Amino acid sequence: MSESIHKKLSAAGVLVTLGIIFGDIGTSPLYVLKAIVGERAITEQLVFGGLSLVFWTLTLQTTFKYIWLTLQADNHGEGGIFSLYTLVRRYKKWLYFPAFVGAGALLADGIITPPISVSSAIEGLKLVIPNIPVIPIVVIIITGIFAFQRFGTKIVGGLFGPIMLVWFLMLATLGFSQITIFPSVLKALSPHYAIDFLVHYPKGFWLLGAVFLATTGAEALYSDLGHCGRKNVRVSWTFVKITLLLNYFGQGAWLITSGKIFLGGLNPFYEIMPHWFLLSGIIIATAATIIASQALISGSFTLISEAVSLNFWPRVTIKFPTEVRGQLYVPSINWLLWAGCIGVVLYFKESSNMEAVYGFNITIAMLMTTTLMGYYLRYVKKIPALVVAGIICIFLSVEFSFFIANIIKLKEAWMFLLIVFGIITTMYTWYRARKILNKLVEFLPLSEHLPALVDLSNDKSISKYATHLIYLTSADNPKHIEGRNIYSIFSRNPKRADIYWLIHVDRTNEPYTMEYTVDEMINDKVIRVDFKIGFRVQPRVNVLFRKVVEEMVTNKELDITSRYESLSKYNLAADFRFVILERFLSVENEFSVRDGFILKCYFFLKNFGQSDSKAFGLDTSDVTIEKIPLVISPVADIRLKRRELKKEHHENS
Amino acid sequence: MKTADFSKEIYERYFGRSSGIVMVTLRDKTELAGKFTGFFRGENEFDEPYIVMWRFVDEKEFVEIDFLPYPNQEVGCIIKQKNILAVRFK
Repeated sequence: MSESIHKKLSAAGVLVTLGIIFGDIGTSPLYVLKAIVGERAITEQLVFGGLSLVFWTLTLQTTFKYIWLTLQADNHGEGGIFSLYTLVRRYKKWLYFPAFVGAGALLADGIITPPISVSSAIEGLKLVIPNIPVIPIVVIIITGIFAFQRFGTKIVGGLFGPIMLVWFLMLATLGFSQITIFPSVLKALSPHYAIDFLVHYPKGFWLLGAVFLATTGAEALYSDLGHCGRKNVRVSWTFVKITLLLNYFGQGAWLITSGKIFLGGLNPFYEIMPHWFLLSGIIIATAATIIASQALISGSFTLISEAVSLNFWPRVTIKFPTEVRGQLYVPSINWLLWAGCIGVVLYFKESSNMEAVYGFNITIAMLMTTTLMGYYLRYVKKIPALVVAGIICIFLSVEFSFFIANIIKLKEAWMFLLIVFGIITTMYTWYRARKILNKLVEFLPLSEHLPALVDLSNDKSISKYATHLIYLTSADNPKHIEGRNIYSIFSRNPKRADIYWLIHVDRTNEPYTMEYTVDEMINDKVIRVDFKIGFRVQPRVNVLFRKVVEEMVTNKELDITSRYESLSKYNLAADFRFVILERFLSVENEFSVRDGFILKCYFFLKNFGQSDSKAFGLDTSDVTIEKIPLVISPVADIRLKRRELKKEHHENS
Repeated sequence: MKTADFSKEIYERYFGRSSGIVMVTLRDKTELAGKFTGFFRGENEFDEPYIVMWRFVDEKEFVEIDFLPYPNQEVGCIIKQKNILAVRFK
């Protein structure tokens, strides 16, 4: 399906959006009402209050904050916390922090969403086969989802939209049938019931933690914006919200009319299904939860890929299972998430236990998005400070209330907090270390070294190292070059080449930029290529460089025929060799304790990531790797004194 | 020339001409004579000076080799831009 179909408002676009965006929020009816009622006595105050809170949460938090407001903060059509960060990072130095925390919380959420969704669906099978072993089935399904990631979703992705359409129609039909039995349940649309619940229901405030589960998918909705386009998301949300509300209110109507005093472990979601439809309903629910899990896993891959591009995360292997833009597979994250999900299933066993920990991370992510949104509205949209303060205060107070209500989950959710902390620490270490390292890159004026470069190239007394010798440079100014590159060319085994290439890759704030310029600094001797690559594009330098060379050959700007006499007559192509300079932490440095510790952690983490040559896609090219010590302070003044040899000493010997 | 935030000007004047000997006065009144052989860039994004640090080789340390064998950091000293009070070109 073409990109334009996804992004423009169309029936096909809306259908695709249902499959990609609304899986998470769309499967919430499986557990929200069950979590709100829990083991409490079923009363009108509880049911009406709970429903009213769900309705107003979906309206204020999902519709107003995410669908109306946050979706405006797209970065060339892309959403998500890192896209938002790239839009505002120039305005305050510390904005990386909310971006790290939000991303960490979202990644940790990827560990609990698949287990709770799939478990909720499969537990319905107990109504048909009471002794069915739920945990092994959930483990098999989750393992299947993760094992399937390496193939991408191109083939089955087309089914996601239609399956979710069936799911939402099922939600609406089941809910509507119950509402017709007890239409008075619609009174709960009034905010009066929500306020009454919060004020008068015993410990009502703390039930916000359960109510919040209705909107947990809102953050994921923003992250996946780029796949669908704002208009499609907004139109399909109208449909999705109606079906969700019909189902929630249908469950509420059943709770009131069932005559039960306690739920007793029943799930109102399945109780409103006719018995003859139960198996079909469970199959549809399972399919919907698989799609919801898929969306969350894909979102995690995108998040890590962006983090790598923004230098927030160690370089990890990122694969492209299909040619669909934005579809990624990150093996390390895939199997880490799988291990986390299986751990959650085995530890908590039932979805009701998982509900007790679900939501805490998302409140954190939402608070961080709101913080970044404040800067976006003020500095990018130029909205008056007072108006921004008003909007942000409303959302911060709502989200902070949810956060406080979710704090009681910490007792059980501490391990997720540890995961969030681990992710944030990794991001901070990587980010800070890169800043320290960037500051230690010593540059030299290139113009001073060009004559020597030409002389070296023409010096036949030195054997040729390569016909085309390619260095990567971090110098954004073409007049500069790193001292280490100059040292590598001249001093460490002088490298004679016919043409020296300097390649600079600049990551842009726009997600999908793919541009380059060529500057032939000395004709047929020194050529600099500057790439501008968007933060969502993998910088596969070998592929990009080959494209540049091809275009230059086509334009007759470059002759890549071998310059060796014996080979040139056969019209063979010349050799290209990359030199990658890798830094290591030398013992001879005088970093502060803090910087030294961060750098040690950085080099430790680097062991788990990709090498520079792999990260730039050069592992299949001819690459020389040179290790360079990272020291900043000169060796202390050595008081070494030369003594003249005594004449008699010579004579004696 | 005052150098409170004139690192780019120093860079352009120094490397724009023959990169000869300069007299550097530090804020602690130390006077140095020698060459700038390298520099460390600041981050534009965070409004740092164009050059935040300089590699400076005292004229007493010259060994008649224009660019010294790596590691470059084994010669000269690092001067932070903020510690420079004045630079005089000879």
